[in-house]
Amino acid sequence: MSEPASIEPAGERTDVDVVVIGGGVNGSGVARDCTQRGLRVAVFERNDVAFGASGNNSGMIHGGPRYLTYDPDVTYTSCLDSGHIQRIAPHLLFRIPFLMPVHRDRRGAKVALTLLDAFFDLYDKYQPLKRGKPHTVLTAEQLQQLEPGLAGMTVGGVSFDEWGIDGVRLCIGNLVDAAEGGAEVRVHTTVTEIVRRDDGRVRGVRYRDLSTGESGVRTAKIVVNATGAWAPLTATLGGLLPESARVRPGKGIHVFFDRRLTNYAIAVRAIDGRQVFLEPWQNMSVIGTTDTDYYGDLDDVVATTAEVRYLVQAVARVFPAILDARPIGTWAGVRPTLYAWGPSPDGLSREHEVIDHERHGAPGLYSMIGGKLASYRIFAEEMTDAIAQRLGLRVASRTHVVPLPGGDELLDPLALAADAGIEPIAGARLEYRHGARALRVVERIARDRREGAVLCPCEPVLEAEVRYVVRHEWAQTVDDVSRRTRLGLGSCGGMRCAARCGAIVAEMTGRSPLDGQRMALDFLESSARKRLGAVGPLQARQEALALATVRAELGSSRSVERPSGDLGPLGLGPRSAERSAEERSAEERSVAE
Amino acid sequence: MTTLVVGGGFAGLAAAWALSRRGREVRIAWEGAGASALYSGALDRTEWGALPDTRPLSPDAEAFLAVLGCFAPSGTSGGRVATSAGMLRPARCRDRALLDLEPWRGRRVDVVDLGRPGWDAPALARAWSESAWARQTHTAFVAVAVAAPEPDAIRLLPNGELAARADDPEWLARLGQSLARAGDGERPLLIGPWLGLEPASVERLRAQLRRPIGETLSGPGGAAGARFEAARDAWLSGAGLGVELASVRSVRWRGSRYEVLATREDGELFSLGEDSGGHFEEVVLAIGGVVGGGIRFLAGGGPEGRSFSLSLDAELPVRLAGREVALSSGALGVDLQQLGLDALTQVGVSVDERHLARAPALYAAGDVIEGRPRCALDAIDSGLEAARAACRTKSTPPLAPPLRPSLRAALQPKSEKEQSP
Repeated sequence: MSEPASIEPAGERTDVDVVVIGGGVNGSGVARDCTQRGLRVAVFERNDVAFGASGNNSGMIHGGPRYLTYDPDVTYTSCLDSGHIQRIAPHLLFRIPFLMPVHRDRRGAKVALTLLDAFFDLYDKYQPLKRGKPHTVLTAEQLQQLEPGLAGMTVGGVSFDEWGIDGVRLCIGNLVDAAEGGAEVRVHTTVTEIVRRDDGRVRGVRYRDLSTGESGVRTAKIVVNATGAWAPLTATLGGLLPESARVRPGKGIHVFFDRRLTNYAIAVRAIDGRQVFLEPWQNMSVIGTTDTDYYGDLDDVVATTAEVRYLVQAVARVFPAILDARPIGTWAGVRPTLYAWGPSPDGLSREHEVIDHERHGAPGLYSMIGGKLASYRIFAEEMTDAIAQRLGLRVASRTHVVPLPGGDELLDPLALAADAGIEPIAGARLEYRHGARALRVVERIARDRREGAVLCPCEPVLEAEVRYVVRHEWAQTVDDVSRRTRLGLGSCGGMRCAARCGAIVAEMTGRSPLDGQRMALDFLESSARKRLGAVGPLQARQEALALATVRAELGSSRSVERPSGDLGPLGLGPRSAERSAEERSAEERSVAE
Repeated sequence: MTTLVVGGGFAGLAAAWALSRRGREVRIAWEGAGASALYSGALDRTEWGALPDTRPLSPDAEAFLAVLGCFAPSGTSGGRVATSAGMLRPARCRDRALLDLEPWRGRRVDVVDLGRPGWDAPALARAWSESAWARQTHTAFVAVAVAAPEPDAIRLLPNGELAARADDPEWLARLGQSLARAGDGERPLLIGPWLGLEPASVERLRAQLRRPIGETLSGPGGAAGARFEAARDAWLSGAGLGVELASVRSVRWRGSRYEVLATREDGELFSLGEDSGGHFEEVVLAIGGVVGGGIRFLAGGGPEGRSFSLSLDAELPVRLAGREVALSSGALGVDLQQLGLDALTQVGVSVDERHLARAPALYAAGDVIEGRPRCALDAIDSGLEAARAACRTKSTPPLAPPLRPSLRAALQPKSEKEQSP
């Protein structure tokens, strides 16, 4: 492998070879690929890992049958890469069988079913790429048998096969792998400027840590803008026009319910003819999704009541029990789709594109535009190929064969639970999220039995896992922990676990207990806000009770003392000197390497 | 003259107590547990983050709390209690089992560490020690290890079940032996909400220990709410009030009395009061707000397009910030996201200064009232006020039922606005 210093064209040293801006699936994928090919990498994430579209999507690496008719390439790459992801992270995948009923009231229903059959014949050709099962045509009776909750007269339907995944865990896996290969990863750290030389070449980035207020510089030969829907904004940090990294921002929302309502995912048509779905996902059911142009604040995307009603109404027509089900939250994200003027958001290509900003006078700066979860790896590979070419590095990508952390070995979750003395369900959830690395989490319990406590009873999440993700996965707030472990995302909305989680996070990051309480309140308030658009009759009572409980235990955000001193935008106090020293030495190490 | 109180929480019970003390015949009906059964153990008049509440309690409120027997005397300025979220907060009144920290300001309090997961005593002690009140008063909290009598129970049982263990005198005595030796054997002990579902258990422990001991606040469904329910049931059976465990479905004025329809577990509708030959001249609705289930939220707007409605059929409009929200203008109900989370704690029926709702001899108390703070002491006060108002009102209710507000508006002469061109 080449010595990194020797590949610098001008012969001068930089802190790192590549700075990646963005901790979503594309950014973490590139960071991993670059690190594997021997490049020194630094990743900066303004919010948290998988904060945007990567953590707020349908949670599937589907083959995209929707794109088959007009974008077969997307279907092919999605299916192929879906297969690769299964190989490198088998623990993160779960099968989601789909049913697509064809209703009698649809004009030409019988013909439609025949067409569907033919369509899925075509899709079946791609299925082996991702170990998917071929489709079957089902009679109305068979449909009813498989999902008794289906309503309406059908002429039958088809089944097909997709894979579910937790997008956040996928990002974390890539970043952990990159970090173990020497990459520097900084979350809650915004890039304030992409620094360029007089001749236009990139020279690195200036950054500011939003929780400590510290700023600094990382010099680099390459800067990758992998900021998804934020891409045009990020381009302007390097003095480029936003149009140089244009996206068509498409907002998509999902509503999730307190349990698995069906065994099969059900594809249904919304009032405008769009395809939406109800899917069992991890231990809940999810309905999605919308696709609308979005021009609001990207750091604060929330599902609206109107969007929720659009989805619920669509699903209720085929699965009426959804009206009595209990929604416990919403996701909202913004897709960074390739820019096009004209087509409806649904008709937009899911292709991806690497923009080399040399053509805008900024050699060394790249933007990653478009793409989807299922094809993140191939996109990252293409991006890294371009970087390697510029740096004269001849190493091929191996990201499709090297397992992600925890994906190297399959554990028996029940044996894991028995060994660790934890509930089987807790063991199963832990194994799902961490794969073989679950062993490292339960090691903590062997050292301190108290860490075997179930912190979040809904999911469930153990105290050991909370401490593990703070220590090894860059979680700095209750919200961060929740994203990584699903703590507080169950039916109680975090009212049983947020305060305790805040205390642990504050203690481990050297902040005061009061900071922990503030973090807990911030988390509870923001998740309540995200739930409100979906609140139904049963949830309203729970919501009011949670409010009363939180106010009794923690006070309202009005009553919690906030220090008057200088605060980062996260609203957190400064961390202790000890932590900063630890971080500084880590920085020094990464610079020295 | 029989009065029906609907609701067995703080407000309903206070109203029933005050009415019976004034010689009324009272029946009380409720269904399931509401906000009172889920309360934390602290009783306040306003949200505790606001200014400290130093006003004395009314004599009636003092007497009511004393009758129930599970509350500590309120004192002149209230007390200070610990929450398991690591805060120290004021409480105007409290469950007797909670430890009041005011007498221990400037001293050291021992935090019981039973090795129970989820109760990280050292971390809690640190959080309490670093809170503003502890710093100002130089009060210290230190975790002290206590050998648990039954480690598996301590480790595995949820809060409520662990608290129930303490109602067993033998178990409690063993716990007491361990606690007596903890620390220096003299300092006050702060423990989680596990000291019994019966109000007497904690007194038994205190007699044995001869050192102060008390709990932190309870989470929802914890020991404090259970002790309130135990105290309520004990008082009701002693006082001989008629209790109906039924779900009241409708309260209708029939010219001179209320006809009340209810269901029991079998789901069959029956007329409440018929069996005893009585009928109700007046009704106090203390059915709770959204938490208690007295006010319901129907996402889709419900069968009649109502987003918020009473859990029973009565001629009372539901309002929010002075605006009627029962009928919503959105095709699928109100947009809760736009109203905001606080809407759920503000919505209710509006009452006049005499707690008289719009209908004759129909009084409202507690969380069902629009815009009042959802605090236990305020609920008790409003129950007492409703009873007082009922007793002031002459027992000659108007003969005609009131008109629905919308209907009345239609019958009124056209407004000036409409008359002007």
